[in-house]
Amino acid sequence: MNISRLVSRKGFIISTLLVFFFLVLGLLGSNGVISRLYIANGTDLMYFIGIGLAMAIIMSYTGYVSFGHAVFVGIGSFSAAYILAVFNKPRIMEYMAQHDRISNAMLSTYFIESLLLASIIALLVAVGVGYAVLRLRGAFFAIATIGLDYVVMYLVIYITSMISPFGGDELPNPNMGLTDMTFYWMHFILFIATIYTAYLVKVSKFGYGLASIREDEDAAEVIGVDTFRYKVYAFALAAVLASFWGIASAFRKSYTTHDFSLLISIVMIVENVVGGLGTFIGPIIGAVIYYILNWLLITTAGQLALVILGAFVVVIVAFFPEGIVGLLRRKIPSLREWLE
Amino acid sequence: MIELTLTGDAFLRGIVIGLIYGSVLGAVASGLTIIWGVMKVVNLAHGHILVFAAMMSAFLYLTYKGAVWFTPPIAFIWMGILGLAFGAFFYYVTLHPIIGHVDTMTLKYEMSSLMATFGFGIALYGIHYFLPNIIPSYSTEPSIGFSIGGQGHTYISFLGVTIEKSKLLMAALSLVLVIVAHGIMNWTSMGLKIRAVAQDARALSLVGINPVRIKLLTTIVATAFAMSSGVLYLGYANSVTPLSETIVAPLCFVIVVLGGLGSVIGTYMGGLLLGVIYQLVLELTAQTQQFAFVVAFAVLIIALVFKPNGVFGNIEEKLSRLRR
Repeated sequence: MNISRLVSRKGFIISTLLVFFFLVLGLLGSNGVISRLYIANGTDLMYFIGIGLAMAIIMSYTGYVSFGHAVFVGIGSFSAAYILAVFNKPRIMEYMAQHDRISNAMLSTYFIESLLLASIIALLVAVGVGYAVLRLRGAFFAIATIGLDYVVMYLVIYITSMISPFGGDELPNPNMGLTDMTFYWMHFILFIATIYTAYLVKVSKFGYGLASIREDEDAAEVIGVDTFRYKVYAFALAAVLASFWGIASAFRKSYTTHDFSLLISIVMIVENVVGGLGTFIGPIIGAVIYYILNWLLITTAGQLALVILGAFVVVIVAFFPEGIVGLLRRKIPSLREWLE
Repeated sequence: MIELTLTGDAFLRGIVIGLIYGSVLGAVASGLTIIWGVMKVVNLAHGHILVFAAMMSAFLYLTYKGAVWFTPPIAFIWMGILGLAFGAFFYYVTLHPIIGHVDTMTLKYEMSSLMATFGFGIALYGIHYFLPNIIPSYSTEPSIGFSIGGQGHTYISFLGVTIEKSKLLMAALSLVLVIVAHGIMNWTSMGLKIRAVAQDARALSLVGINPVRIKLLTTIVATAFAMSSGVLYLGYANSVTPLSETIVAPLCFVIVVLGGLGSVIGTYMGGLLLGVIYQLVLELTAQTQQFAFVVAFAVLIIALVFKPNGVFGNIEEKLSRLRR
């Protein structure tokens, strides 16, 4: 594809603006200009946009709702915990006895190791399971992926209970003396990787193939799209991206099994539905809306938060099935090229 | 690692308890098979509705301690009646904007109804954590002895296996529920209309029947079955929390797929099969519930890949052929 055409598209400009925004936020934070609260908010926001975009590749672009996508977030966080708390714990403990923070070289080694391990496991699971369940369509796929989430979660809990000295289902990471700025930059690297991957997939030939599968799978097959292979690729890519965000959250929260929770799948799905299916900007806007709404609801409504969130999903699905971005595209045609 | 305890005793216990558990599971999934299998609405709120009914009956039973009105056989009927109203509410709030018109379900409607019921389920799940703010005595973790007449548990011995009488009662009630569901779907004109609306809603409207009303009726019936089977689940498991949904709902989907969509008897057979597998794994491997759960889902994925029409897919055709 022509590079200059790719760069001049509005989606690329928006993603670059977002990356630039988070870069400025991070620079301000590391110079102590803005408080740590903004840094924490920025980290959370990157995480939510990241998991939304990872899910978008299979759900929004391809039209297959994977209810168990949290399993790949869980795989990522489990691999990070495995690298830190099982493989390298003695080394980290030894180093931490002399210094108050592990060296950048060690940190980046472990980070890259976790990325590699998580990608390999996520790829194996996604391709293996994808070969079986991607033959199913619509609701059957959704239900099979719910099952996948439980199976892998219980298997991982089973494995962890054998290697963890606590005998429980959680692997705590050792204390590495990292600050929230380190976590912020870690999230930032993954954010760049995710947002440009999602954008490139959307505008490439592969992305058009996925769009044709979403609109009409039989017609796509007739015009020569290798639908099954495309679906497996999309599922694998979405899995690997989701596992990256599991790593980020494992480094930050230092616990693992929470990331298998169905609640994370719910967040991913809600973001995509609210933003609008079939668009690149949709999951981003959905993530921002979800994040703000979640903050507001938890602080003002307390226990009613889940009820309101559920009602919000019902309203969006019933009355604005094309999501917020789709609604804006329909109402304001001049915004169309910005909201691709 | 996994150690097998292959004794005849464990085997027998697995099969007997498995059959009872499977009978309850089959009844629990029958509401889902009506709404999903026949009307093609993937009701992800099924488990939440069921657990909602179970929580309500547990709460009422504990509040009016020992009152006959909330013991299983009667709570079963209460919840069924309440389910009729709740089903209408569920339909108008969630499904009517999506499927409330004369049209046969397509994949697009199927996916949006799936998302809408998903949202309804989250809301219903959230209500359990909100209710203690209004009703101080409402607990999200009631632990009860939900038995006949509120007299505590009595046991019965059968083939050397000791079973709680209340569990046997639940199995009997679940059989009643399944027969009622099968009867409604196959022996009444309403069941005929429900099956017709799934096949061709437009043709149905041409012969003077309002398909939207049939969709409403189906949702009401399915919800009533879901709510009364919530009491069965409570009676079997003896305790319930909002998180029970994460165990019941996936098992329901497994059973409906195993049984073949839209067949109540097939679903019941699927329930029996899954219950036996589940309990046998529990008894023979001495592992946790979670391990049995993994096996159940392995069964689902194998069934989905190799027999997408369900193991007991056309059992009703075979039955009617036998009758002739």
